[in-house]
Amino acid sequence: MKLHVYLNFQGKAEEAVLFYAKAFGGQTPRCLKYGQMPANPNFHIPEEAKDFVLHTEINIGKQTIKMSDALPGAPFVEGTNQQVAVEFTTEAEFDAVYEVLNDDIVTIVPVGPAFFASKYTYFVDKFGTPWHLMVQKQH
Amino acid sequence: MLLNIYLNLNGNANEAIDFYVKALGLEKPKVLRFSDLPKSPDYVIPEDMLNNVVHCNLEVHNTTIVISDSSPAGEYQEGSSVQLILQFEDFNTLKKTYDKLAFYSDILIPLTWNEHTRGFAMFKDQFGVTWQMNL
Repeated sequence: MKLHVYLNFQGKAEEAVLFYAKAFGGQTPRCLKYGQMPANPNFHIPEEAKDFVLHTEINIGKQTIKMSDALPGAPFVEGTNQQVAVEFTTEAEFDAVYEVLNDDIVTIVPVGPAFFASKYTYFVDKFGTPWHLMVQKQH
Repeated sequence: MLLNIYLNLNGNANEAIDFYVKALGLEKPKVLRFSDLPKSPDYVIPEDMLNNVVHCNLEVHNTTIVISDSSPAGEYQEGSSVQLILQFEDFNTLKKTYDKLAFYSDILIPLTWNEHTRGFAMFKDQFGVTWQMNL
């Protein structure tokens, strides 16, 4: 059994995954589009959604974040009940990722030390994804 | 670099922890509650929130789900933009986990298997968390 994070977007999944790949490094992600699905008379894809992302993913360390666009009309609510957290081992790693993600963000907790981390921040990025970034305290 | 998932609950984190431990067959975790925090005159916790969860790590096969209740000042809004996926290697384990984890859920896509998918389901559980399962 493996547990992954899944992020949903409204038509911006491709832009988001390319942005995240720039922040976290690794291979350029590939996007499977709704328009590439085998035609199915029971599942009509609206014309405007043919270029939406059905599936894409990036790796963060040994783990995976999977992403897609919600179909037009599907319920989509940005919430405060689930967030993504990334723990770094060094401040340099934290800084490199934060430098890219820090683009039109809404900061909830500014970068600074916390009792559980030597460096920590909590923000919502320009795609609506809530991130906790932190540097593990040295034990 | 480690990727974790944060679940923020609305006063029912204790219940959620017990439920996920049973449904996913996890080790019983340590739970830090508001009553465990050092007392501070600047941050008074209402009596009825003392048993609420400040922090709990649920270890789910190399990924950590961090569970807490919203802080007394925090706002709470159920969202659908962040979801969890459980990926299985055999159908029996998927089915057994689905039967337990989805029991009280709003089923969004019932467990299906056909020529396109070997097993897929999607549901929102009683704690407002949307899960997908696949094989």
